[in-house]
Amino acid sequence: MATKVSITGAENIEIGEKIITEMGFKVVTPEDSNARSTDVSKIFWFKGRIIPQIGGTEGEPVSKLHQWSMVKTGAGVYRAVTAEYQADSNTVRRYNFPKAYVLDYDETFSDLEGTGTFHMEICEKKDENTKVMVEGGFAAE
Amino acid sequence: MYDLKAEGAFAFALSEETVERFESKIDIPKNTDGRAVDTAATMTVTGKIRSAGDGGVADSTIQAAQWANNMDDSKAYQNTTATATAAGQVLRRTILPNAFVVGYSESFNVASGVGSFELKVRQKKDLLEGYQIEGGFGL
Repeated sequence: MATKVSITGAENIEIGEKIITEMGFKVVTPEDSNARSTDVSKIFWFKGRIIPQIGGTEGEPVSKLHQWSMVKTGAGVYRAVTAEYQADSNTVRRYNFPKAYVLDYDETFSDLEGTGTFHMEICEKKDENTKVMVEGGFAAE
Repeated sequence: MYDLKAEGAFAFALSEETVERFESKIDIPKNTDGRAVDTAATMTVTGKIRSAGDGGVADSTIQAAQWANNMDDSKAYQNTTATATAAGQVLRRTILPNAFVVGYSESFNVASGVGSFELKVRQKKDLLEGYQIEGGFGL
């Protein structure tokens, strides 16, 4: 186990440590509330590189994220996302979004860099918000 | 040096190694003819997230993330205290006895191994008189 993002559902996608450069988690509620709002958006995002899989048989995995972002209807829209950030043999964070949809996707290729970069934001379906899990601070398995 | 403490269902104590900055903001409506009673006391705290590996100092930022993630109203409010000290004196201690999370974000740079967070909390408005500001005393 290492730093990774796993997506399961209509198609299983696994994005590993060599690809991911940054990840993060956001909880957004209305800014003008007088008490804790129940209108809460839970968002997970990650950024990474699009690199050639030399000698690999799996193909380039980030293309599957791009394809997911174009699924607007049907069974493939919502997928389960688990992400883990590890450092010094510790699981610093583990996120679990059981019913997530794509909020934002972009990727860039430039002849100055040679590799592509991507950024993806996913959001838990709001009526199943209570199922999002955030854990961390334990030894890596 | 700065520290942040929360007491409640998701209790945590973030020390000077973790807390980098905190800001207290009193929001009063601007479009009024006299002093508005509609006042909001909000605190924004930013800091680092470290791993506990190699015998390093562990932090309890995970509790802050879980507090933000919590959707159970009975656990939504925590007694939150931010303290700024300098030269052995408490410059400022701000206490929000019934704080709730307005927003939270955290991010990790996988390549460089650096994590950071921003937590924004506010005192429950109907209990605004509980908000306390102290400062200028020895530790």
